Amino acid sequence: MVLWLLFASMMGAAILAVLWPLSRPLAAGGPSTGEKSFVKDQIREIERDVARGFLSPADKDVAIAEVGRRFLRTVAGGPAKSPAQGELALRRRRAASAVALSMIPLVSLAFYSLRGSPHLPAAPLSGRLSDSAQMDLQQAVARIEAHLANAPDDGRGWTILAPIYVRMGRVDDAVKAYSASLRLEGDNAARRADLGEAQVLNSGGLVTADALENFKAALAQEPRLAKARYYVALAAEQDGRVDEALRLFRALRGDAGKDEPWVPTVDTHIARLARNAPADAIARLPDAERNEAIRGMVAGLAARLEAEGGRIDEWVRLVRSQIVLGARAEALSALSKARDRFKDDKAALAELEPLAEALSRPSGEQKP
Amino acid sequence: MIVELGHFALTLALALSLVQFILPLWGALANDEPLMNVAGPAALGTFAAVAFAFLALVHAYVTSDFSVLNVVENSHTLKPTLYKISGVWGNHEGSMLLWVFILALFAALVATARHTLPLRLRALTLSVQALIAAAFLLFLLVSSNPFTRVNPAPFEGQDLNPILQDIGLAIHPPLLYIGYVGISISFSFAAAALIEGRIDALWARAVRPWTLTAWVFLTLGIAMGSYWAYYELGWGGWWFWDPVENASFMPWLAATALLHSTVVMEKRDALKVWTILLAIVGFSLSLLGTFLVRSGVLTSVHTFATDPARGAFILGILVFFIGGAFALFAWRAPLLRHGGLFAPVSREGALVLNNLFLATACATVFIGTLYPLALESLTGEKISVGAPYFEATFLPIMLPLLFLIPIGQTLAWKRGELLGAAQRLMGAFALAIAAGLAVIAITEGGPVLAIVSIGLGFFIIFGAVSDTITRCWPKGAQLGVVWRRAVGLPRSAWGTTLAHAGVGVVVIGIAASAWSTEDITLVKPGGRVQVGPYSLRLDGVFPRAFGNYREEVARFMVSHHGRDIGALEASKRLYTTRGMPTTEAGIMTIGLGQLYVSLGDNEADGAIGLRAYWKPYVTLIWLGSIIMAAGGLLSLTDRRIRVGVPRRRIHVAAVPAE
Repeated sequence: MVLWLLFASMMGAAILAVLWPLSRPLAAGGPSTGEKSFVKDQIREIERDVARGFLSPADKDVAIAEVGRRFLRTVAGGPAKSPAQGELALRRRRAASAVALSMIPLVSLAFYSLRGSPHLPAAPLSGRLSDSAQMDLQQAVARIEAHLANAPDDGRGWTILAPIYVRMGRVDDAVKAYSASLRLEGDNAARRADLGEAQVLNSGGLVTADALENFKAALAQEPRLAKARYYVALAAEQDGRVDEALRLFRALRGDAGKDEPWVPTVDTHIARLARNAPADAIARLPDAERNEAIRGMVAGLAARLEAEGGRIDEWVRLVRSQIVLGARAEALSALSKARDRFKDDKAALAELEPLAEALSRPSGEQKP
Repeated sequence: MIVELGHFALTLALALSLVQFILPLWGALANDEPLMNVAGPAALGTFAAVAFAFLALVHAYVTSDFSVLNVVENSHTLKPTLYKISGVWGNHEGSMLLWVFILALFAALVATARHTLPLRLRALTLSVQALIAAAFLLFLLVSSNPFTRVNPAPFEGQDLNPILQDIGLAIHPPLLYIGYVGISISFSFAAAALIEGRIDALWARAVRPWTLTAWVFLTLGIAMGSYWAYYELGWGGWWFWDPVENASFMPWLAATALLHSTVVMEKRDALKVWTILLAIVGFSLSLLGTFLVRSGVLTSVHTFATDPARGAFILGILVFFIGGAFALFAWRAPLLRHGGLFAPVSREGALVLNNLFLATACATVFIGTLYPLALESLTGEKISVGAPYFEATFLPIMLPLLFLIPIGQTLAWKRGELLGAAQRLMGAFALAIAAGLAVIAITEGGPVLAIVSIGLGFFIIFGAVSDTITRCWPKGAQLGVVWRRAVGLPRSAWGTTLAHAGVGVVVIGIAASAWSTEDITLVKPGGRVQVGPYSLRLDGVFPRAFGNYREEVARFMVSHHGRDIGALEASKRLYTTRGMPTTEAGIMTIGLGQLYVSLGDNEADGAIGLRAYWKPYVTLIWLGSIIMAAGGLLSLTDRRIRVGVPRRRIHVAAVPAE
């Protein structure tokens, strides 16, 4: 509320700054102050030069006459002032005020609404550090680090430090700290999962083989541990095992309590996977239906390429699919069309070559 | 809340600058005074809004407000406060905000300089300036918003590029930007003159201080950037003909030409169309520099983020303003009244020659900078145009220009006499030859070009001084008269002398680099290296930690003829947050020369690799630049009006149109 009041007052000041000159009474006509003062300055300068001895008194009058001529030329060359009063001037001023009054709020609010976040509070350093402790976190970390340098077997120290490292963005150190904590404080599911998570962060979000091993070890001890299950599902997604990932995420979502903070993230994954999984849905159909569906897709691709042309890799995919489906005649016809279409493109023709070879072999080898 | 207020102020600035563009332009075209009067308050309002936004961002940096994405990406709680502040413009968004801030600052200064400018010229100039500001504000708000927030706020920031964590960042960009953006005012004045369709000595007088200000800051900014690269990059060089350097050098050449042609215009009412063209070209080159540096076309420490959308946006701004200005020029310039004629051998003739040389030099730099880029984008072929090209093309143009400086300065206005000028310069020339001979004697020879250049440098200095002396010292005058004349000499004349002498000093500093010595070697603790006349002994290598970095320091003892003269430290730093190493060169200034040590890799047996240089008189390069800038400042304090004194016999030539 305070923020919006301040916005309003800033905007008000801006509008007033523009309206003020529009509402002022006019000065009398004639050459503007700038031009007049320029002439005065020039004459004063000539007099100063005479006093200094740079200019002879005889030249003085000539110089002043020259200044006068220039001034007359300036005034004569300038356009005549339009009348300050009168219907036209008044209408012009009203239009200008309307421009200022409408444009300033419209433009500023429109652009502010693009990226502004009026609801977000500031997060300065002083606010982020807890006031009661009044402790410089960096100093505390440095103190624990110094202690651990002397007593590297103090597992408790590593356990405290590890999550702080993660928050400070020092994930490399976090992995080391979690490993030490695991080694010194004993193996348990939560520590395994934390270590795995740090490894994932350290590899830029990729679930590496090491990390996956840790998550699996965690699940072996505690099969319902949400963090480990999430990353195992993520690993499946990153490996392209869409169906499995979708199943794991859905199972995780099903077991979630109402206000677990990670639920929206899991929902995002499910939504994305479900969108990208038609191929997967086809794979689950019974054999006959599946072949029918695949034939339908291939026929669709063929029709599209026929009509629109398409890229070489699409043609290659079409011919290959038809070979796999056992539709030899159609494959040959598609191949010749593709060759015709790309007859000027050597690279494309080279890509078609292996397909032609496959088709020239006896039909027995082409079964899927 | 302050951050959001800053963001809103920026949008308000966009709205105000649009009003500042539309209403005064309309007012000038309809010749309606109240509408033209809107320009001033609107410019001040825009400046207040941009200044508030800028301070809001500075506040976010100083308090480490990590709810602002820009702060998270470029700051760290452990960074010293000075670098927290300078880090505001050590990134793309913040530097563009600084750009707009200076743009608005110049507009506000023009708005407050009410009594020196005719109303119409002021209204039109501010209108054009507002259009530039609006374009850049739009760019900021749409594609480079510095006030984007993050929620939840991260605990720690990603730190600033370590190369930028230096006092240089606090000085170099603001200086350079004042120069770069300052040329925009000359551009706006030129566009205003074209729209208005008239241009006179008053215009030249109005433009002169702005061009001079921009030139002074550009000179200092380039010199500072050169010195920063020299000590931070550890390569021992101070100019690399790098495209980023050229991007700032081209506007400097254009601004230098503009400065000189404005003098002709103010004094003689001539060279009008050319001056207008130079103002347009100068700002076009500074826009081009912004595009090259900020779009990611070039990769350097100045390129903070490569984002094609941003590059395209700046290219759009570039095409709009340069294209628009040249179209306006082609349409309106023929309507301008041409100025007076003059004899080829005269001060103004010499200044035309100066302009020709500077424009040609600028063109060679332009080609050397853009040709490789154009070639790469068209054919994909990468070529490198480096020092050899510029030495072969730029130097042959610059050397005659430098030789002409004292001669032009000695020639009289309107009708000079070459023989008289030569006679007056005989003393300076003889002294310069003597200096060259002395150099040969002391150094027992050296590259011919270097010796000639040193003589040239002295010729420029002595020539500048001798011109001043002849002007204050009429033959047989008493000392009192000389003193009176010296005091009475306009400050701009003293400024000219100082600035030209500064050029001579720079030339000497550059020429002296022919005598620098270099050694690349391995040295163990206790070992010695000899560079030039100095001997370095490695006393030891030790680690040190400070704030957000750790460093390995090598300490040397420097001795001269067996006598220790001081310790020198060079180091290699590792900035922990970004895991980035930097090299800090160890520099010891001895007299006007510098001993420069940069560390290389460590060897297994405890030896360290190092490059050691002895660079005699190298500091003259930067001292000379500072002298040049000081000359400009001195000239700036001179608000004198130049009135050509018409003599009856050449009266017709002075005012041909009547």
